[in-house]
Amino acid sequence: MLNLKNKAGGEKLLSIWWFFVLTVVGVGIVIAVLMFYSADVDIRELESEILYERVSDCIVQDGFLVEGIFNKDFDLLKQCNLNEKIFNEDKLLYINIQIFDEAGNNLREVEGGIEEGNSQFPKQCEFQEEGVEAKHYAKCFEKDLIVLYNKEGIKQGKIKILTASNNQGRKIPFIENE
Amino acid sequence: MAKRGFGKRGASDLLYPVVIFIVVNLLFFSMLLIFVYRQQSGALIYEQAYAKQIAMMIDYAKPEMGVPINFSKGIEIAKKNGKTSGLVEIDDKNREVIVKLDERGGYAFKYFSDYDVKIEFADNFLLIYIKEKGEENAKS
Repeated sequence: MLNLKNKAGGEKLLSIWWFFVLTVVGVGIVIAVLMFYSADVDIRELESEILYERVSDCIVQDGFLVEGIFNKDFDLLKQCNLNEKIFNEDKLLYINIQIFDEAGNNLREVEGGIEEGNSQFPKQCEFQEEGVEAKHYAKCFEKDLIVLYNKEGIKQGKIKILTASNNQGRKIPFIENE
Repeated sequence: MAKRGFGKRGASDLLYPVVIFIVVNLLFFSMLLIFVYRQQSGALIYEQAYAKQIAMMIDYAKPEMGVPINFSKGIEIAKKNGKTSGLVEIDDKNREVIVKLDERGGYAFKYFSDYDVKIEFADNFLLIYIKEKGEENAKS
């Protein structure tokens, strides 16, 4: 009645098949869990927005642009208490401020407005707006503000602030930790 | 005798593969469960989240502000990993927040604010104090 030979063969087949299933399931779960827990928390967009808030807060006070902003030697980083190293050495952030009068004329003496940080970022932002997807491109934030300024009398104008961040953080390996 | 011996071997032949099969399966699934549990309580994701959260707070804060951050989960994970001190460090020179919840490494994230930053723990909270640059030195 029982064909032991065939049954043993069937068990062997079943165990090989079962080990294959276990391996596939195991590897699948391990990959999924590792991917989930090593995912990067991307806050670059948020950081750009915070940078915008910080800059707009310090160059606009009570609705007026701060004194000296039209001068060539205006130091934005010093004015806003921003660290120079992260902007100009590490090149992880970018700020651009354009100031216009009511007619839309640029009011700054220097072409291109006030600029600090990595000047490649505006291009990267443009590419992304055009639909190019790149994981390592900077994330940008841009906003206009209506302001008052005192230049030969009180006038109304507009400032355009563009901020960008590519600050991604780093894991500290065991060796460096030691 | 020979018949009985043969019968015994036949029964164990049937029994052992089933036992081995069950044991191997149990071992396999318990290993998977342990792996998932260890990953879930792993430090890396929390180190990253805390470092970024602290850096954001520092960037957003103004001088004379004190910002509390609930660090209870971080402390719990660090204790589990045998680490009780140096969980959060501020590297003034490189403007970095460094979070280490494990002896094996950590996560560093740069902040852009140029104010002086001091931190201290109070129970499960991390308190961040923001001061004008050089204010601490001027006082002392």
